[in-house]
Amino acid sequence: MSTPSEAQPRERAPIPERLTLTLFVSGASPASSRAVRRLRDLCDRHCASGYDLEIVDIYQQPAMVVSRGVLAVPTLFKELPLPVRVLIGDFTDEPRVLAALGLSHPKGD
Amino acid sequence: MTPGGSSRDQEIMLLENRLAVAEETLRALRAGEVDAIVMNTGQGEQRIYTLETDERPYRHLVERMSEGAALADTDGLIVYANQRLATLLGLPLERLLGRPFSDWLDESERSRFIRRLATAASGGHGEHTLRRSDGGSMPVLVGVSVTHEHDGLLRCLTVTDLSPQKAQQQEMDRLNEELTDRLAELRKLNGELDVERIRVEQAMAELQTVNEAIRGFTAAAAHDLRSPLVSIIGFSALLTKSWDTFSEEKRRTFVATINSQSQNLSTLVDDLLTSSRIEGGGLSTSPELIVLAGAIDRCLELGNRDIGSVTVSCSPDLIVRVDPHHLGRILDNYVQNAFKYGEPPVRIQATRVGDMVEVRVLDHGPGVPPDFVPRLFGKFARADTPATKAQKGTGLGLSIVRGLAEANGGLAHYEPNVPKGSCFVVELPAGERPGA
Repeated sequence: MSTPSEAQPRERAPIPERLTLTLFVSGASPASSRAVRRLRDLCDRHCASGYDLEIVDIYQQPAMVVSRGVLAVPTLFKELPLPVRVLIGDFTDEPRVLAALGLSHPKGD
Repeated sequence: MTPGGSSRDQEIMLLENRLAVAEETLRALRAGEVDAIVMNTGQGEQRIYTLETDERPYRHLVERMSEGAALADTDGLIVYANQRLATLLGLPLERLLGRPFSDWLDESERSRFIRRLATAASGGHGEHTLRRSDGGSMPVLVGVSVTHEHDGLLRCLTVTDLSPQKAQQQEMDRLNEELTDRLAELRKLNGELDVERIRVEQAMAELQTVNEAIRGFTAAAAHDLRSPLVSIIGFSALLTKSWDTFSEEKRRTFVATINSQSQNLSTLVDDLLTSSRIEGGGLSTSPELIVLAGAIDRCLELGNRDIGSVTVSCSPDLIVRVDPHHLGRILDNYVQNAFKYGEPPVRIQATRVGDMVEVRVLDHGPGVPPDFVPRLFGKFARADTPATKAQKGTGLGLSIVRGLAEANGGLAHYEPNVPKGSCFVVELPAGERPGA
């Protein structure tokens, strides 16, 4: 498809980076459960290129809570693509979450 | 881009990020979207404050689980217990609070449990016996773990009822034991069966041998009975038919033959009767004191033996206490055998051995084949040798000798003679000369 002389067009069509997420929850408590459910649903619907979601229980992995400076639970880190974004809550406001994750694609973009 | 400008830009970006996170946190808190807040104690440890709703599912889980659960404070006193633990102990829940769990353990186990509780830094478990309020006991597994709370250590106890497992284990042990017993029993029975089978096989083999011997004996006896009878019938018929044609001398010879054959017949019938009596236990003995040397002489005379071909070594003082007819029969049989199956010179020697007198009859024939010796004194015993084949006999002689010797309190046995020949021995009870 491309030849060595066609370096420019390649840069203009970057391979979409896979969404990598880390979600901190506190066991099966209500907001945490809601957060896990909603986030999966949202990603399944909007993230066509796939995603990796790691769920960390703050009771089971306290060291990670310290290293990531988690303040309140549930907390979501969008690790990739950069920049890192932090979202807190149970993802009730879907458009806001989609925007934060870079998943809102207005038509014609 | 200068390094200084870059640094400021970065600082601004960092602050903007922190502001965004702070705003996001505040927003989520206000919206009630948060379960728990993580606080830093400032000593590198964080403490998690959970909101009321966060605990509910765990509460539910702990209350509904099939194990008893309790939290004990640093002094080991129960500060929380689930309903299940109260049920296991048979007590109302409130009676558990403020008391040490060890109160409900078997007295002998309390110190062990308290030690475990004190040292259980990383958890552990052990089997104990729970004392129920109704006086009953229950085997339990008590798990202990420690959780560090802000106001000190809390011990978490889980109590699992082991009764069903124990009952199952006991049942299995019982079944196992039963199986082992059955197996041992079966093995024993099997062994017994084997022994019995071998015994039956041996008995069958013996029966077969006896059966064959009886068949042989019947044939031999019939033959032996027939020979004298044929003689008697033949000569008596001849005399009846042609009395006049024979000379006086001839007639005398014939009658003498009839007489001697009748004697043979009589002896044979006596043998059969004696043997039958010995076997049936109906033999009666009339012991007398007999001078042995005299009895030997009489035996040799009656047997028409050439006394010169037999050497006798017997002190005239030797007295035996036996039935005289039986003694005659024994000696006669031994001497006859020595001439029939052995070879001269024949020697008779008698000696006193303790309370017994031992009489030995020795010959210089081929002797008895070693493999036949064990059966020599049995009934119908006839060794398969040229000497025996050449002689007629019912095979009763030696069995009668032994039977008579034993009936008189003696013994009869065989030894090989040295260097060749046979040595038949009879031991008889010694007697003292009357008036001696």
